[in-house]
Amino acid sequence: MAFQAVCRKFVEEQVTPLVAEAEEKQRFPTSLWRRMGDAGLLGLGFPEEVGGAGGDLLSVAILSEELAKASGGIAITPLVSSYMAAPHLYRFGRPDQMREYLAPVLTGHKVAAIAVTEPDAGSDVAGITLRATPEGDGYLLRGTKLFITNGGIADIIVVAAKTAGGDGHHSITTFIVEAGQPGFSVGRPLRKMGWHSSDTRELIFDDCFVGANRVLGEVNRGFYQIMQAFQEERVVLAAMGVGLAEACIEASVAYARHRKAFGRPISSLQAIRHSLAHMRTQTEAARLLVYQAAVLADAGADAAQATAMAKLFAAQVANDVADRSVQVFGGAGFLEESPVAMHYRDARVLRIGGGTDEIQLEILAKLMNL
Amino acid sequence: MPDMKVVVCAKQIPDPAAPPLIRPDTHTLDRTGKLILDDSDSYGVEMALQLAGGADDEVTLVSMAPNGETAGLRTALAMGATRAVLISDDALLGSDALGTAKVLAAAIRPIQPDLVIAATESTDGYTGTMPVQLAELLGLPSVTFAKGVAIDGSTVKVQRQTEAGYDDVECPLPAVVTVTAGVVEPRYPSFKGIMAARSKPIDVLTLADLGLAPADVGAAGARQEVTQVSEAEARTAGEIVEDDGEGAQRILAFLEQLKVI
Ligand SMILES: Cc1cc2nc3c(=O)[nH]c(=O)nc-3n(C[C@H](O)[C@H](O)[C@H](O)COP(=O)(O)OP(=O)(O)OC[C@H]3O[C@@H](n4cnc5c(N)ncnc54)[C@H](O)[C@@H]3O)c2cc1C
Repeated sequence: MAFQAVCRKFVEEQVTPLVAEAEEKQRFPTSLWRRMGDAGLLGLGFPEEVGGAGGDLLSVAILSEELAKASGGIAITPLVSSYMAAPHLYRFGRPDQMREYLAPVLTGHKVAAIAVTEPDAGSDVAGITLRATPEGDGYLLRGTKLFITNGGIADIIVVAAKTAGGDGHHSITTFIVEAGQPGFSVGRPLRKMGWHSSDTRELIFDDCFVGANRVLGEVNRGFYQIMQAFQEERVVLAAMGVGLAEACIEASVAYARHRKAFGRPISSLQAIRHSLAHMRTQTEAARLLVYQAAVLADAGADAAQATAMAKLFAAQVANDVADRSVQVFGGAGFLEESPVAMHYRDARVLRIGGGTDEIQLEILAKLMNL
Repeated sequence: MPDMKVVVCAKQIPDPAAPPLIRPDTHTLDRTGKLILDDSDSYGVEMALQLAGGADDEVTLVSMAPNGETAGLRTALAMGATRAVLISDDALLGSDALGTAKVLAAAIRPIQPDLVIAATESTDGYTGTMPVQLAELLGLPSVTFAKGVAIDGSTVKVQRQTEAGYDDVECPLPAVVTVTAGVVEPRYPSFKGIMAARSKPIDVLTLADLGLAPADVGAAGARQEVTQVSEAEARTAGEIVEDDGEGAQRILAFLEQLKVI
């Protein structure tokens, strides 16, 4: 049984039945943490020595695709924990930090978040202002983060803060913060257009003390650490776009075969069948870009261009395909109970989170020496 | 020597999610396409892995399938089984349950297992007779419909599903036990498991390897013939009852009419 088939079976049996209630209650089904952990789906791409499950970025992309077919809101929750936050702990953590913070995340015993974005700095990571001021044997964190996925359910938060004045490129440090620490609090869940079952919060740091042993990686090297870890994050998000598009195609094809207009199935109308064929082609092209980015990264080759292209293209394809699928459904597609309405709402954030379309285009233009 | 040897009969069947193809000549299921592990056998595999999970234990899969098919066996190997024996031979086409039992018995006998596990019935054939025939041919006691299995020394303790609940049954090992879908929750093969399964041994045997005569098995040896297949009646639309405060009474009346209460 190929890995993709296992992911598909897992999602069909363990995730899909929970989607409706999770969307309705706007809550991630917590039972999934242990189930995914037991199935080794939270430690892919991490070596066994640190509690990982083997595998590589390609396997993470495949999981991401399959999860997103069921629900973006459910998918993003473990994907952020294991494949967007945990990589910071793995790449830059000391062995003792990995034992304490990384290992439990890879088995689903603990949940992680990554907090970079602030009310006044998103794309401009170097422009963050949350301060970390030296105090005794550590630092006092002061400031706020915004849009933090898993903010209210995470046990472990990787936080980017300014440890010196001046240019952010050389003055950011990442820290490990634990939920419940004095001086740390979270705002109410933010209400969103999509990803309804994903928890997104404002985080408030009011002189929150973190010991020097919780510095992750090197002091003042945080900006570069974040940029490195972003590569992986973008492949995972791009793969979510592919999965979302795939789900829209499956639902649209099934609907078009059965729905009749003017006495025949709408799948026999050129406007509809060509749109479906276009959706298929776009999605397959996006998938190949995503797999290429993952395979290059897995081979240790330079994946910067492939990653930016994959993120840009897959997110746009997801939006286009979701839009077309709503059109195939007609009025039924506008109903919340249709299988495509949720995907239509969920697609939009993929062009924003993890680096906007414009940021990917900037990266690509720079790689063209423009 | 392994501590505990468990054999699991693992059937590979056409994907039940796809529409079944019935061969017009034999009225049996066309099994020439891609096959997958029968879901009902994944419970047996999991049970075996839980009973014989030690480093020195051994879980051997035994399967009879056409065209050297191993896809379903790889799934069970990815779950953690140690190795597999596949019997594949053109002469086996058209085997009935007894023919299958003869083949599996011949393959299992040399393994000398402590325990043989099978599903109560397969998802594609549903005869539910093969495991007890197998037990008879192996000269072993059999316990069917297990919803719980534990090993205690040289005894297997089984909770045998009944209509009212379950019976506690004890039986000396070696034995054949058939398990229900409720017995354990099958694990998902992990990434590591899938990779490891690629290099696990699968012995592919023919009838000759087992010393069986083609006349005793397959269509030639079958004592059972499927004379006709007809489609199940399509389900008729149910009755929709609007609850205007009398819903409960309507349900009661309906159940009484069916004589279920
Ligand atoms: C649901 C959700 C979950 C999120 N989860 C997390 C999380 O877990 N952790 C985290 O740290 N962040 C998270 N984010 C934040 C996300 O990464 C940012 O929203 C994103 O990076 C964009 O930043 P911004 O919102 O501040 O937009 P801005 O940076 O203010 O951008 C506004 C517009 O200006 C454009 N723009 C900005 N700079 C340039 C430029 N140089 N060239 C061209 N155009 C430009 C942008 O493309 C965009 O169109 C999340 C966001 C959302 C919506």
